[in-house]
Amino acid sequence: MTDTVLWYTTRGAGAVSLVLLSAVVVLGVLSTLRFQSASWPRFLTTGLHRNVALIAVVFLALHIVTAVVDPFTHLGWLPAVIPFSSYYRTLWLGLGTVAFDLLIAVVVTSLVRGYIGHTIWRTIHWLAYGSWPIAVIHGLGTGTDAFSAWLLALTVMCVVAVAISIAYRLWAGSPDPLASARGAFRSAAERREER
Amino acid sequence: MGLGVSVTVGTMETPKNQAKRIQARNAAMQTLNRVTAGVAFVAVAGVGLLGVVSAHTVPGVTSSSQASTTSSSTATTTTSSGVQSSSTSVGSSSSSGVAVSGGS
Repeated sequence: MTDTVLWYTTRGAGAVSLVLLSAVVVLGVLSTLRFQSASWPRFLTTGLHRNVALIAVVFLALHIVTAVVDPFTHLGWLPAVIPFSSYYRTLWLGLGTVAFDLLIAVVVTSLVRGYIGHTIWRTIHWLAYGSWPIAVIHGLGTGTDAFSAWLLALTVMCVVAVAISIAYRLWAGSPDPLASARGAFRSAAERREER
Repeated sequence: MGLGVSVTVGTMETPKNQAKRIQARNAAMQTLNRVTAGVAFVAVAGVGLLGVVSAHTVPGVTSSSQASTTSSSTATTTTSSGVQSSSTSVGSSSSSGVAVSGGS
């Protein structure tokens, strides 16, 4: 495999990861809104949110691995997990590492949700709202062709989609009339389990 | 007790309803699998497509070989000019040193 192919794969996988992560955020917001229809039950949104998140992690791994093994950049494996440890575009690359680490925290805690309890899982899951904008800034800052028309259009579409979904979520409020009662019950149950 | 019995009867599902629910769930699971497979396929195709688009739009790379040669030639000229400029600067500094030496 030539350096050029690795370089282009890094960029293609990075752009696809951005789209997938944006879809994950939008689906996550839709699942909190309890969206459903006759042909689209509620668990479908949650299931798709989980599956697309796992696909996003795979493509993010492809993005990172191809960038690390590319002999042109000489990044090494350390900057892939430790933020701001790269000699190459330290800030922008470091932001990408931060976004990746946050995403891994969100994915891992989601996979072991049954063991850590709902409150801890939910608190860590909020990190996803931080991970996504950091990833967008990383793309704009690091990307060789971040300001080329196609990538800029893709980024703008992702930002608009996520902004609309979050705005709608804030505007609609909680669609679950028992949300606060349910939360209080969960907290009480967890406190009881801890004793 | 009588109330408990009536509640139990009220929430009981007929086998027909249960079969319907199972069917609906299976259909939804099929939809989930199809959509997930579709997303994965589009993502793989997307990496290839965006990689190609990226290769064609990367700054400094042009499709025609003539343009590429011109660009290379320009780069060479710039380097050469840089060396000349540096050389002039060194000469000027040396001359200035001689003048100071004469004064003392």
